[in-house]
Amino acid sequence: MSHRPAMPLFRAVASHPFLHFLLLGGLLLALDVASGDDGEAGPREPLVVEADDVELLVAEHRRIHGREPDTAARHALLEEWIEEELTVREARRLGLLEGDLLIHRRLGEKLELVGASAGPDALERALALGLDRHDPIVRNRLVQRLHRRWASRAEPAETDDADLRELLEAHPERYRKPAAARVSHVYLAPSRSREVAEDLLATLRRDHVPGEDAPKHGDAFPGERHLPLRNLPKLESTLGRDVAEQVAEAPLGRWVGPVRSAWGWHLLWVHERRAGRLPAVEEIRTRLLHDLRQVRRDDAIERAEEALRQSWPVEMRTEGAT
Amino acid sequence: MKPSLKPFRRLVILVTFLSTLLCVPGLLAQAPAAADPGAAAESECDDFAPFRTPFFGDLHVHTSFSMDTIYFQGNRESDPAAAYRFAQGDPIGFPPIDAAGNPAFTVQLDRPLDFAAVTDHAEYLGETRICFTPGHPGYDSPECELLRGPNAFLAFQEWFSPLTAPIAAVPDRFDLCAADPDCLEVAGSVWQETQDAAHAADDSTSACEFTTFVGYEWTGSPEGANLHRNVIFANEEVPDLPVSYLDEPRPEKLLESIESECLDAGIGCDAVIIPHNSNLSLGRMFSPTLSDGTPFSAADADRFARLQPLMEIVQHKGISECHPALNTNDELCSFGILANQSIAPIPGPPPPISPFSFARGALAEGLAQQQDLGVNPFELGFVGGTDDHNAAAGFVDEEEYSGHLGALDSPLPGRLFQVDATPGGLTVIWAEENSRRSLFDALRRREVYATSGPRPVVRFFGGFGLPSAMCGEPSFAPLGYAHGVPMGGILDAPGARQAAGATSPAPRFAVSALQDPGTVSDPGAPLERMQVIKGWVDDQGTTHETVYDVAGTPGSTGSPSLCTVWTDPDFDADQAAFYYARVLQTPTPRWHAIQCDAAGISCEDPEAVPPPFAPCCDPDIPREIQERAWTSPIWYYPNAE
Repeated sequence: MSHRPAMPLFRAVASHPFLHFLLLGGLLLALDVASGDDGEAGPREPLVVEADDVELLVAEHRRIHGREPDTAARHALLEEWIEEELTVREARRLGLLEGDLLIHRRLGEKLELVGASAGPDALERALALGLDRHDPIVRNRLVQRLHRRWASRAEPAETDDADLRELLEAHPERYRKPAAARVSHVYLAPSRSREVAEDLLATLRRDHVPGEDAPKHGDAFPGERHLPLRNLPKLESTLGRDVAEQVAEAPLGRWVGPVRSAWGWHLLWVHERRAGRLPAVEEIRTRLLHDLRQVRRDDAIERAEEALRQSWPVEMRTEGAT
Repeated sequence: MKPSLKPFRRLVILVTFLSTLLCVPGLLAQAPAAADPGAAAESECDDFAPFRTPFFGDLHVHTSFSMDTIYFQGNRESDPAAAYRFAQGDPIGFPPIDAAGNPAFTVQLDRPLDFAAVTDHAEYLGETRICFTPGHPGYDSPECELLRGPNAFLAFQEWFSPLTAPIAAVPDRFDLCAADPDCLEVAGSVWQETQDAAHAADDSTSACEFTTFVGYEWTGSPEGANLHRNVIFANEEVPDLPVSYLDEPRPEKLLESIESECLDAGIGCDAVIIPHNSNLSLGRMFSPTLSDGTPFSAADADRFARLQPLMEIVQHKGISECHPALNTNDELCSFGILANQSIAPIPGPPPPISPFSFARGALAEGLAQQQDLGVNPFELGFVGGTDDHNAAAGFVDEEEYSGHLGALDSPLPGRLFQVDATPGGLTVIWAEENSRRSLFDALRRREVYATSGPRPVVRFFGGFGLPSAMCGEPSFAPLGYAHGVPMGGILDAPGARQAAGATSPAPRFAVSALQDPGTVSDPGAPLERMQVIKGWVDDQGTTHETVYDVAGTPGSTGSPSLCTVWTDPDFDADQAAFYYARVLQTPTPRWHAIQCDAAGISCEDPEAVPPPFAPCCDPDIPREIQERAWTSPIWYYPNAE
């Protein structure tokens, strides 16, 4: 389908049971779309698909991906194109072209190019000249607007915490908070040898130096020697993977190391560690509501697209092409 | 230690730090507010550092909500939510998008950002406008009648090109929502969706992984002069609709509007307005005049100071620090200079390059204005951004640079038409924690720096009383805060808060930098040197500048860290001045050199180079660059309180 967000989340969630009660709303919208009855909107002229259309798609695929599409890919390409073409036609049928500033601007620019920009019936002349046909900007804009209209007309469903919890638990990898640790460290300049670092480690342990005394040992360092409870990915982004791995595994309340960062040697004292966790619904309610709304909108668009595909007459004249 | 004792432990550590540093008990009261143990109780995040942590982000990102993304044939799926997911490490599809909706390829950050703001163009963002709001005073105006009538198309044409018309020629009020009954409902929701996406992506748990800001871009380009500004809101309180260039083409009125609708509205709203691409403004961005040419009054200067504490010094469309034609003694000014001076073609020969197009000139003019008006309208901190139009927030990698303009500059030959453009840079904020409140407070006080892409960790403090041996002390930053001001600050009067035994008639500046550590697969480059750039105005009103090398060696193989305390050898207590630090990496390959080489282009025989790849061999574009960071300045004013 032409409207697929980059994330697979929404696709997977769309098949989830808790969305089934939304189907009623989606079906109503689909019926609305399928009936084609939109007040003054015109009829749906059949879409005729020629062999040339298929060849254009194949050529574009070849240009972008550098290889021929196989049979399954050709079928998918054609289906996607038909779907987009129907969406564009439906948008035009509903008058979304006349109402759009960006499209008008685009057509105006093209009229200027052909030296025909003056006059009050400029839009009619632009359309008569077919300046909108096959124009990617016009097409993109029409699809964007119709998708938006379909999404906004989806029946708003009731949402309770159970729905949000189901979304949360269906995709823990998406919502999980990372592990964190609170660390103090002694720093040694990179010019020092590993032996020096190991000697210092031995001294710290032998003298039972507590983690709190980290700033009193080692070399000068502009950064903090006592770090707060920090997410391990953030720790890794400055002190590097080796340090982060040590921090993740080291026993608490002891000196460990030496371990290298881009900046030098470190002897680590991990005060505490907190495991990664899945937040409660209450903690991320805004985000879950937003994500659920996105799922519903994508669902609404998908159903409207399917209804359009079912109800709009398509004639295939592509013998030998697919 | 049990978790319940954590606040107490924090207090012990803080008190230990402060008491080892400060000999005079009275100085405890003057430590920065965030070092006050009481402040810890207000934190929202587990990761709260009283002496602040650097957070990396991008405050300039466009998505499919921007009007020009459709023109660039960008990915129409890449909406604000996609941009925020990308900022946190998810992949995003790049154009060209084929008929099946499949992107040509995907890209991904190798290190997530800590914060981001999507700043789509306000022009046409919310197509709800006055002409379609019955009852609004402008509803019955002739312009609106025209727009609602059968000749609406003519009206659009007439004033869409005004995006580059002279400011005085832009119609006073106009609407872009056409005769579409859905327009109000659909379009008005776009601004709401922008906000919703920001709030959803902002981490509301105490893990504070990621912060977002609601924002937008005001895109004024009168007569080809780029006056674009991003408006970044502090929190959820935002105006009902963003004020766009089409609503208000005069920059000073934009500032007034944000001031009255936000800062002074009594609803807890705050915002900063961040100008970008002054390099393309034909000298208008930082000219101390209103849009009709009237020189600033003190009230104007005050408003500019209050609403515009920052400028975006680096982004895709070039760097606005300085220019080789103006700052002739600084050969490092040639980095990131664009051939164009304006955002749109202008008639006639290009005018002389104006100092008001660059940070140095703006800062210097600010000092001059302060002498005349008592207020400095251009006390500007530095931030960096990408201005990406693919929703790829913070995507600054040179090797993987895939353009910023959708299908216009991807794949490779397409972006060679603008070979002088760069992937852009990042903003780094020194804040106690990664929350909106903490980050925004830092933006306001300008404790921020910009980088041209990499992530060095840079500290900059200034003070007459900074201890000269700071670099060797165990607690560099606490000393800086205790005895000086951080980047973005204004120097205290001599004698205030000085460390025991630290007396200096001239201000001292402590600069420290740690190289970008990079990642396992892509290590960062070491640091070549650090500089302090000083600008000042003499009593004749003439501006001067000097670039001082303060650490490191030009041409060296570099070092993972540099630190120095430098005293101004040419200080004159009667002359106002600004100082900022510039930290340079050792040279690394530029994006076009990497990508042209990978495409097999050799410049040995220019005749053999296919025409679309000719810019690969442009002799004016260096194959190696020195990525860098610029700290916000520290200002000195004579007779400071």
